[in-house]
Amino acid sequence: MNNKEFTAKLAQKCKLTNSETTELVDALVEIFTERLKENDQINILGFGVLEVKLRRERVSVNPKSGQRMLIPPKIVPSFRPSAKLKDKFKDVEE
Amino acid sequence: MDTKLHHSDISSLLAEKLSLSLSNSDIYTRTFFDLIIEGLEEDGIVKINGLGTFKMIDVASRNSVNVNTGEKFEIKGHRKITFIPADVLKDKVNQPFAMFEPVEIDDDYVDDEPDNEREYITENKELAEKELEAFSKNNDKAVTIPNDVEPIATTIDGENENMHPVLLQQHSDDNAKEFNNGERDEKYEKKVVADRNIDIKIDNYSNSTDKRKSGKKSIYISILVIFISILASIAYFSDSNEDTAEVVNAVGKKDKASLLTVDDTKKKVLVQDTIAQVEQKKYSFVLIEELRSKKLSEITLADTTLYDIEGDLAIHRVGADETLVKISQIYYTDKRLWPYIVKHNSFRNYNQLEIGMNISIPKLVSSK
Repeated sequence: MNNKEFTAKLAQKCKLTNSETTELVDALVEIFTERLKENDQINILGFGVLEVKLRRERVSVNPKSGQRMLIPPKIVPSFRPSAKLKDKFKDVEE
Repeated sequence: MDTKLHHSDISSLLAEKLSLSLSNSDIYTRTFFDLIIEGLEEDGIVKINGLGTFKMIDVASRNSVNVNTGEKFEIKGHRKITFIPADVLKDKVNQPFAMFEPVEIDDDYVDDEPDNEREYITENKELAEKELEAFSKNNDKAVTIPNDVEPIATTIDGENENMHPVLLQQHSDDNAKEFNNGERDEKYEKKVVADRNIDIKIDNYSNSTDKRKSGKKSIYISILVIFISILASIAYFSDSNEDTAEVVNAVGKKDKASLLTVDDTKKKVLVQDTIAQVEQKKYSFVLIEELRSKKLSEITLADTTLYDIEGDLAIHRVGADETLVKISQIYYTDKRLWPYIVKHNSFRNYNQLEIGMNISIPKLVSSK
């Protein structure tokens, strides 16, 4: 499901026009990014947690050339699905 | 900061942003997240612009061991939700560390000579050359030279710092008398000339031993010895070719003949150098051809190998569309060795390369 399909479905469900829905999605995404920038955690019951993690600096080696690189520290957004959601999809397993 | 936001917080923020009613925004956010779960169920992938991708992936079953009991058991294959953040989100979140970039750790390149020091040595060289000129113009006014030299000498030589300030003053005052004093001059000329072929270090050492013996006899001699040692130290810093000339010059030699012989030897060395250079140029072309015929795999180098620069391999004229990397590829068949070329040519800026520039390619010998 790509972004277009997603907004179309959301519009259908919320009984909004497509442009309104895109506005809605954009606003939500903006809220998330702003909050994540402030190191906040977004806990959604039944869905999961959106949070940021600090990755420490490290030395990596290019296996081909043997060149060693120092990778700087960085902050990475991450998602942790809730236990409920995890279990739900575990059942889908063939 | 570090606060936990829940569903209600998000919906209230959304309501504020789009000026919606709270109940409406609550429904919208709820359906937003529900739809993500729904999409995952249906397609296994949900893309949202600006946020990222939620994706289902299959994890194969694997064997594991219970750490406490040592029992072996199988972790069954299952499906797992992953989230791949969009680049926009990544960049925005990573803004505090945005200025960092991965750095190549170069084991090969060792900057053992700080730039300041290099400048300093060249400065000294220039001064020494000036000194030489001044001396050749008026041999009788040798007195002027020591005064020129002294300020540098005090900064380089540790010995002078240890010297008593009173002694130092005397040293500068009495220089004039000292250098007109023929007998003592000749003594030290002989010494220096004898030591000419020996290493400067040894020269320095012998002078300092002399200093102990003669120090008791008279202060003047001791001062002179210190002065010679200072000059020797200057000579040590500058080219070895100039060493002998300088030392002889500094002692205040009035004998033109000896100076001339020094000049002759210098010329000879220069001529030999130029001949060697020409031969080396011819040789370098052969070398390049040889290297080109070799396969790359034959000359692969571990990145832990260190190289010493040993003279010039060739002199290269920079053509159009040539970079340091390309040049190092041509000569060493390894593009990672370009820092050595930079080091050898003492470029300030790595982008300093210009078309038609002559750069010398160092000969690299692996050091162990």
